[in-house]
Amino acid sequence: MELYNRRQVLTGISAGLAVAGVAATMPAGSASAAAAALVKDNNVVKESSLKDSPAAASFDGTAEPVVAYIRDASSGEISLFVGSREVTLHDSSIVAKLASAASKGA
Amino acid sequence: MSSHREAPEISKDPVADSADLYAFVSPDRPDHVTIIANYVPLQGPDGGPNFYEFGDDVLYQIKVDNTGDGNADVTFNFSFRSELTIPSSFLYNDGPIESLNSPSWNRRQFYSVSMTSGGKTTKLGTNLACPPCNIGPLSTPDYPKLASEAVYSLGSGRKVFAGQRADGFYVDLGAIFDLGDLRPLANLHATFGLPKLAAAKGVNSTRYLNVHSIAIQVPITDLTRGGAHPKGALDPAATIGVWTTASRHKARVWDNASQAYSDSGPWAQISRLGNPLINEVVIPLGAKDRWNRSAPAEDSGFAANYENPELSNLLPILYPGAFPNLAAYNATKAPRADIVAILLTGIPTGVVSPGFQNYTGKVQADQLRLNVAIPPASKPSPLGVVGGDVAGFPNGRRVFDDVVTIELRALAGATLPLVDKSFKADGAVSVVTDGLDGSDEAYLSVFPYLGVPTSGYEVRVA
Repeated sequence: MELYNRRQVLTGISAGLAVAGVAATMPAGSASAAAAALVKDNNVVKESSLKDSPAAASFDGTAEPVVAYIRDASSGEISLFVGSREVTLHDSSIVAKLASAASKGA
Repeated sequence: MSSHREAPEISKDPVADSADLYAFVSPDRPDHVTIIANYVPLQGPDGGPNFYEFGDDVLYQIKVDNTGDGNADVTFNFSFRSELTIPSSFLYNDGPIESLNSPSWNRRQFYSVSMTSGGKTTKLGTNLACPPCNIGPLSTPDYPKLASEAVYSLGSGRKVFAGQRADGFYVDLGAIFDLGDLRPLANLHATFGLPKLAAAKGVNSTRYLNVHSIAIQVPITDLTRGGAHPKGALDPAATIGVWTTASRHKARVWDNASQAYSDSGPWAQISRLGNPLINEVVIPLGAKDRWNRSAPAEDSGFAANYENPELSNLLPILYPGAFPNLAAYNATKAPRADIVAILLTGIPTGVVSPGFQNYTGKVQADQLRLNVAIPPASKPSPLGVVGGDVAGFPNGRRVFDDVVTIELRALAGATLPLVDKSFKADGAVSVVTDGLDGSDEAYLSVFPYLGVPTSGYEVRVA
């Protein structure tokens, strides 16, 4: 089971770590396509959800928000929360761009 | 308290805060087990106009391990949704609520329940109505009748109820958290050099407070290994381990466009409860949030807290001279095998009596263990097994069980002779209590067993 501190996820801030978080709503097809592109170009390291949860992930054509969470920009790891799923990618380029955008917005 | 506001993070999230868990063979249907998971603790009954409800964004689960590995084999899932019928009104209701479809009732809540077993999830009920909160004699003039309408039959002998109840748990919080000055023993307290306190009866901190209960009653065979009906109390398949969890999606963002929160990501557990008072007084403050997020199968990582309970070490210090045998045992640093057995593995055959066991194996897991082959007691003792009644806590937990006194006495050494014949419990152990002999609320003799909630109008001034 993931042991993220929920408050850290909500605030997008973890003490001492460079963090950037974005949220976007996109058509499910777009989200899938974007994820697929990322999968193609990068390493998807895991996808997780509670196995005994009755709420299954759905990509049934409705728009779903996607939340990106970067706990530690130096790791190059980014977590995408969509529906009831979490997809974790390693992509230093995307993480660097988001971290840069976040710092400019600060 | 049993688990009310017991950890730093969950104390800020009441709708997801598991407060009490009960599991017992139903006294009026002994071939069925009742499990009750309480959430939203410490409700002041007059707390309107936004009265209490379950979290629409919380996944509530009741889990059952019937193989002794610390993992769920049967899970009951509960999801809620709320709606307004009179959104232009600030009122919870604009007239008497005399039925669950009353047009006067503004803020309503509905839920679905499913059962996951053998890798398959089965819907048991959808769009089931919760009753309203008990507002007062004008708003909810016949609350018992109203609440009884919210008891649903799910078929195959199953029943369910989700809604407000009187908190059946009783405890003197004010005394326990004032450096453990149990009122009946206050005259023996060290008081840290401050003036002595007089002995007195306990004060029930949950008196007139309500909770929200998820109660389900199912055939024993829904819960046991392979769906078997146990052959007897010594049948290894007779004992199940029960716990409840609450989970939230990992990510939450306020969405201005919809003026609502948007949740996404997998469900992440943020609260759990098996045995009463564990995260309250056994797990240290620095580990409580982690304990809430972990699973029973991971509890060996917390075993040291059970082997050398902080409260057992404190009692001889707080009450100088009252617990010399316990103090001597504590000094040896020997692990409390009795506490580990009661709370983490269950009690093996022959330890309490020849015909009793609720042992689930070597895997250490904090679960409320219930031997479903032990019938309800004809003359139950609120002290359960400690009081000679093996149908009560720590063999499951009934709504009236005095779990505070039972655990206080166990931690004080009452159960240590079960595993160490050379240990003699101190004389003071038999009088250790927080001074309460039962809840002030009336329990029901039928499902859902917890009593009618106190109404806002009737709330008493202490």
